[in-house]
Amino acid sequence: MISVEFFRISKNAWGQETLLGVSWDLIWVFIGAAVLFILVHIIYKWLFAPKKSEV
Amino acid sequence: MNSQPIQDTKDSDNIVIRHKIPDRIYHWIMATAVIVLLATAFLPIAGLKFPWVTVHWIAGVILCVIVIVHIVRALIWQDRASMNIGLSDIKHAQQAFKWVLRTSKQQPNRPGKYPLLQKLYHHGIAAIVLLLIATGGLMLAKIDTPFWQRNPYMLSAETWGYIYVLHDLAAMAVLALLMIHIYFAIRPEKLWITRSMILGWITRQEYHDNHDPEAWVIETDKSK
Repeated sequence: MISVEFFRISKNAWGQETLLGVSWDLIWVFIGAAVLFILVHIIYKWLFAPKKSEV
Repeated sequence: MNSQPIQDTKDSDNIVIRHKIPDRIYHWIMATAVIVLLATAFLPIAGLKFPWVTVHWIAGVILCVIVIVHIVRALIWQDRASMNIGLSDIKHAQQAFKWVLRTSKQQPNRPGKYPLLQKLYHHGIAAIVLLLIATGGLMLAKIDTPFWQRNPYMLSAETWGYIYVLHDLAAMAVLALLMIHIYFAIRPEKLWITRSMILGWITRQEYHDNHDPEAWVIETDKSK
């Protein structure tokens, strides 16, 4: 099972947590969303989109 | 389309200026700055190690300056109304939705200079870039430059964490939106728009096929 951490966190010498930013793994979520959008649009335009001559 | 074919040549009478030179220069400087910022942000994370900080903050400052110039130019000299989202856009969207779902055989009306999706894209990425500039501007306080000394204690560690979270999420969103932007720019039916961002013009045929001349009145027609 794939687990994605959402934040980058550091701990100091006393064990206190400090927020450093979001996990770099999330970049694949954004890239995946963009690729999925593009693929869905290509398939839609290829197979389903009404042509302008279809009037 | 209901217009008569017009010869597709680059005669000055047969072209319509869609993007003036200052707007094209702005667009391509912004594009270069954004690509440099994304490369210097994410390539080191991907394992390509190089001294990225200086290039990153300089590109960020350049992006900030040209965005300010663009905002001033848009507010004072450009036609702001062409970017507003109004009732006609909602009506066009409803028509387009019905046409796409094939519940109507009537093609959607042609938009003015910018269709709704282009306006939404512009406003969305503008908000994200402004967030990047604001958070990135604060982060300049954490580095030494020829102009100031670093002061990382300006804000608490917790506040810095939230700023980094916002900056990181906005940067990833820009990467995704840039991929979608380039995809549409290279689609065959959109190349005329891409050409207009390089050369500035579209043909009158493209103007009549894709725009409502009453909603986007070109300068030569204003005198009529």
